[in-house]
Amino acid sequence: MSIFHEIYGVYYRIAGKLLGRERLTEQEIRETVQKEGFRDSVLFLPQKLLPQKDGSDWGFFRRTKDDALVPVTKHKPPQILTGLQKRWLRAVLDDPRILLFLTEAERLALLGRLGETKPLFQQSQFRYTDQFSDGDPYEDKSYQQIFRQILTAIRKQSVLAVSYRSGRKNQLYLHCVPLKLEYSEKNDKFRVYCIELRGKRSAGAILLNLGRIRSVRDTGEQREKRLSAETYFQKLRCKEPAVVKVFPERNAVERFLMEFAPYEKRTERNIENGCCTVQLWYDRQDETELLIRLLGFGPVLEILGPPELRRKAAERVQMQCRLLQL
Amino acid sequence: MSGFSELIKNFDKTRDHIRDFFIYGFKVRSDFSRKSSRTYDDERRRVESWLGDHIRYDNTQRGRQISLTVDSGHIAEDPLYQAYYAKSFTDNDIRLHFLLLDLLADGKTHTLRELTDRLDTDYAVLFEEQTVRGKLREYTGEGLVVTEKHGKTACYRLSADTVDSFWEMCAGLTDAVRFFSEVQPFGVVGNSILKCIGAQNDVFLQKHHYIVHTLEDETLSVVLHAMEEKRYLTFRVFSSRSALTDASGHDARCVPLQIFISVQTGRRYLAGYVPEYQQFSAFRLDFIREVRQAETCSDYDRLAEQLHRDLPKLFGVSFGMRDPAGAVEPLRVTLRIREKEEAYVLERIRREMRSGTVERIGQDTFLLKLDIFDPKEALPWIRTFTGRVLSVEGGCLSVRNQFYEDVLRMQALYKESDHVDIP
Repeated sequence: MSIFHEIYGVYYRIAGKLLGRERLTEQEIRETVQKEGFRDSVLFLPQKLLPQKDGSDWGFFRRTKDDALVPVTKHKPPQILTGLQKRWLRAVLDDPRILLFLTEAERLALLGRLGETKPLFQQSQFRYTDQFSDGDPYEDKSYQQIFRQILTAIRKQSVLAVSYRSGRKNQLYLHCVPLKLEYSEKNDKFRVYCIELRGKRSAGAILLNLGRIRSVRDTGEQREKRLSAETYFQKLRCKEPAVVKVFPERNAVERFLMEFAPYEKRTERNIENGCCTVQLWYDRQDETELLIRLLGFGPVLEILGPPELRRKAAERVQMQCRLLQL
Repeated sequence: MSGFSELIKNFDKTRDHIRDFFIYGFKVRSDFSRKSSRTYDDERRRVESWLGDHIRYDNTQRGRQISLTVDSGHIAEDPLYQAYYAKSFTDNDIRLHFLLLDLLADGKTHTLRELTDRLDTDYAVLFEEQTVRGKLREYTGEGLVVTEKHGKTACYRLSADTVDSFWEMCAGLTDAVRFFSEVQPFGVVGNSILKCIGAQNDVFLQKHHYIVHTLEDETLSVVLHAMEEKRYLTFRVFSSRSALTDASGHDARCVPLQIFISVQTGRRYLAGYVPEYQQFSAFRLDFIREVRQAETCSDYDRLAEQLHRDLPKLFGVSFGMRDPAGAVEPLRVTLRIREKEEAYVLERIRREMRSGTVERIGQDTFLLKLDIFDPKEALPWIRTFTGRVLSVEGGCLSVRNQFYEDVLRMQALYKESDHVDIP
């Protein structure tokens, strides 16, 4: 039982989709391959799907007199959950976060439906060595309710009235439209990317920790103008990438590139001295987190720019030297 | 064109190339010395075909470098899942798949003979019974088909576990799968369900998201199974990613007990007991290959209990400088934190602290006491408090020296605070 099996593959998926149609044209087959396949699939797949004179196709379609194509099969391809998919689902039902999506009754019903299916993995088989200890309370009913309200509001683009406790413990009341829910495994928390509204006008992007939301009320209003996630996140982006030089000692290059793998980056290695220069793009709100993580590498990493980021690093290092009277 | 296929038979080779493109990103053609240049060209072309939107080309002094560039925090779906969806197959595999499922879609039970005959009569394709039996047996293993014995005759029917039969039970299941399909391990399985129902994740993002972990799911699957069955594991260990060649690795054997995951560094480890050295050890999951289950370990429960007892003294994954009595001198770090203005730093310490305590020992002065096996592991974390450290004591001499030497080296690095030449 492996996920690396052709039944989950792109070619099977496309063939299944096309066989689910009663009638289609050659053009539609090509377009589906183009849309659903890999970049080069158009070079390989259509000739297997379309009837060929030499019989080298898979024999799934026959041509009608008006040059349409109809499947040789009689039913839509059945969609069965495989044993592997059921085992995965069974494992997920043991995760406390599942109650953000299902009621306990629904969870129990699914467990019953899955019967003796063994979970694909168990939480006890994993240990998160450096996950923060103040994760969100997934089993708290009020938290679950707020999570669902936000999820619904994202779909409907509803304007929400939110009561929120800020990081400085201030109570805030604001109107916002939620856009995306973000989970961090490191923080073990959800956050909501929102557009804050003042009256009908946008007051900019705001990021709320779900665990600090006291209450949420749907105002019944909807934001008419949809903002693409791409545009939204572009506005949060740093103006210039951070540029760092990573030295080869202490296996720092490998450690750095692995740790910063989630970032969009550009790397270049100097073959003579083994140093690696990396440009990292980050969200402006994460700059402090980025800075302390970079300082965590100590002298095997140097922040080259932008000047403001380097200056902040230098300040901390100078302060450190003063404290140690070095 | 001839000879090239965008589908693959073996995941291992491709996994290494994808990882090189994604993690390192600075390699040029000549750096891929493991196989021939033609193999490299084929692998590169496949990766371009699967992940075209994320490929970046840069001309450098060393040549043209290809990298996979992904801002993992802002993507809806792990693009590396595509590699799992590229398994090769034969023409007969796909014909049998759709035609057999079409015959079985009537919900009735069929014999092998009946199915083989109807492949011929209904679709004009000839298969030997043996071939059809093989496919039905395979699909029984995959859970698509149910085999029943009617007397001495094996009969086959489609599994009743249709996607619809699950999805009609609760409306929130699609969103649950959307979310968990991006959570590792095995998120790719959830993604395959989303593909099945024609849905996409359009709501959830993952911060600190190590999408590359998906490439180890096959290895992990064997490890977890061995843990479940309380068996030994054998595998080959490689010392670093840059040397994943047959020659550089060595054989190892351990009792697998837990997977350690660092959510901050992206490193994952197989933690187990190594009989050869009579101690616990942790192996980087992405540095092991050819993982095989071996015999059952009769001592498994005792070892698991022992590991569990040791966990509170593990800062990360290293059992490093533990003495036989299990005692090490705690590392003591004194920090200056302005209590009123910088309460957030204290909050940070409390949520990030592990294997230790934090104590106020004076105005704006706090003592972190880390009672851990390997004090060296805590150094990167301590350095995140650069600018606040009053002293580092305890632990061991080499760690204390390294801390102070590192501060001096950093002082030299940042002496010129504003102006540096950026290449």
